[in-house]
Amino acid sequence: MASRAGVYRRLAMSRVRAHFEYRVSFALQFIGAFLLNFLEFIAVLVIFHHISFLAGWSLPEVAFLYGSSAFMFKFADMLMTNMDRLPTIIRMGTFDQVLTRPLGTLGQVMTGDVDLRQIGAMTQGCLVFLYALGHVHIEWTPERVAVLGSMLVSAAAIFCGIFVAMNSIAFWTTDAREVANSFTYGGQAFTEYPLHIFGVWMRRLMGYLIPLAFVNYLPSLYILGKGDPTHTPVILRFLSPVVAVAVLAVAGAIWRVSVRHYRSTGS
Amino acid sequence: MRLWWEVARRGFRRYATYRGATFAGVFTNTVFGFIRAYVLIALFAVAPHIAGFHVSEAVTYTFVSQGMLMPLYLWGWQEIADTVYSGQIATDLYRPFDYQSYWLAQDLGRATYHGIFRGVPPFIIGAIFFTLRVPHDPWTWLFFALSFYLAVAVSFAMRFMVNLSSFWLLDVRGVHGVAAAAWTLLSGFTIPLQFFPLLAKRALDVLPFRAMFELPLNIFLERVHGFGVVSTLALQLFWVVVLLGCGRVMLRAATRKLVLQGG
Repeated sequence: MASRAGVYRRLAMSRVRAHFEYRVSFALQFIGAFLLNFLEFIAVLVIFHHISFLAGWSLPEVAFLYGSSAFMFKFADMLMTNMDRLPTIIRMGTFDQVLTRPLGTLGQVMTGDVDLRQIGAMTQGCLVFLYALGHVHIEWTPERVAVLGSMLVSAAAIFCGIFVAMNSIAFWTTDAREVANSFTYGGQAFTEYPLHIFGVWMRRLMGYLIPLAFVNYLPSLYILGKGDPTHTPVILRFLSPVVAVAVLAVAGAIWRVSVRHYRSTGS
Repeated sequence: MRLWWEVARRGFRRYATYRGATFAGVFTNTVFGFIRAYVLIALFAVAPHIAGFHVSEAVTYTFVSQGMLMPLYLWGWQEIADTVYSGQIATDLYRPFDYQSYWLAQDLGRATYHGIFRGVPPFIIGAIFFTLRVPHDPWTWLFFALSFYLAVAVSFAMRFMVNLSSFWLLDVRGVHGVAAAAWTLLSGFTIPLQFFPLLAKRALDVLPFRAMFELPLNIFLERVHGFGVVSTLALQLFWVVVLLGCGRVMLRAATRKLVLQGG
């Protein structure tokens, strides 16, 4: 097991080094990733230029959601960099090589590329989150600290699960993969705002069927001591870790079934 | 003229082959449209009048701009840069027609396809679930179509320059990333520019980015009338000419560099 982890680490590091080959471009892309996320946050600031509360949430409270979402999503995005290339890998027949190697298919695809530029975007999300922590009113208790910690870990896990599950579409049809973006990048946008601003069907589909409500909204209700206009059971605010484990299990199963469905393009 | 028409048609047809991708793209554009619409609805529930917008106009803004996203192609177009890296560009430049016009024609054809098949469906789906404002004056559709193509040309002119930066940089993705980040915010895509604080709005008014989203949307939402429409289109045309001109200057500099390397 240890040696396998070592192999994955070496594979990932070789990709990381490859990115450093083009230094100027890397620096620009790093800044670009930071800027892109920062500019997105300007939209939030522009909204709060006109109002003090968005659906009952203050700027620091929305920043709490925005920051935790951006921070953890970009972390997941970095781990899943190569998922974007999965359709190409399948179309070119390169996935055959993946199948012949004595390593897990998912691990190989994931370590095929690691995009460190995302650290730029992660930094931005982290800064927004730190700003939020400094400005929201939280009565800190050991329980709240524990929920906060489990929220961040669960968020990263849920996002990773969504990346794997949704990108498995590529094994069934290679040109409809953009649907995955609705739930990965769309999932980030969705979790940047309080869930109750969305319509009931959107909440059901994106919030619970794809369990994005557990990424940050539900635990944040507890941490920030906010009321829930959608009247969900209080217990849900503590279930993010359970949901995260379930998402990873389902995502793993979907990946395995999809790989079994894979038919080589031949030649 | 006939040549450019054929090139544009090929640009259209080239993208028409990917049906699955079109469906998937419409789905994604619509989901993002819904997310942005709900955010603006929550905003307008607290502040019902921002910059003279009614909530239905703000939601309309969202779905029209979401539909224009693919036609304007702000993300990830580096076809010219790829020909620079492969060396193909050397032969392309020697072809007996104007290089920039060729790509512009190709891009207008592509944008026509994306406008019809990626632009219209999100708007229709949005209209089913939300109250959207459709232009009252039938002429507005024609003016909007003109404004749409001018917006595409502005976007093309900027992407053309980003691509040409590949003559000086080994990897164009960095420049493109920074540029795309700026384009989406400064053009009024992420949020209408009218919502910005006054000072920021004044600054954005003198930049070309608003020609991509803010100005066409002003026409679609009939925020400008009569002479206002003409001056809006004229301003867009002004930016098209200026930016295409900058692109030509850059192309000339790039070509000289190419000769130096090739010699």
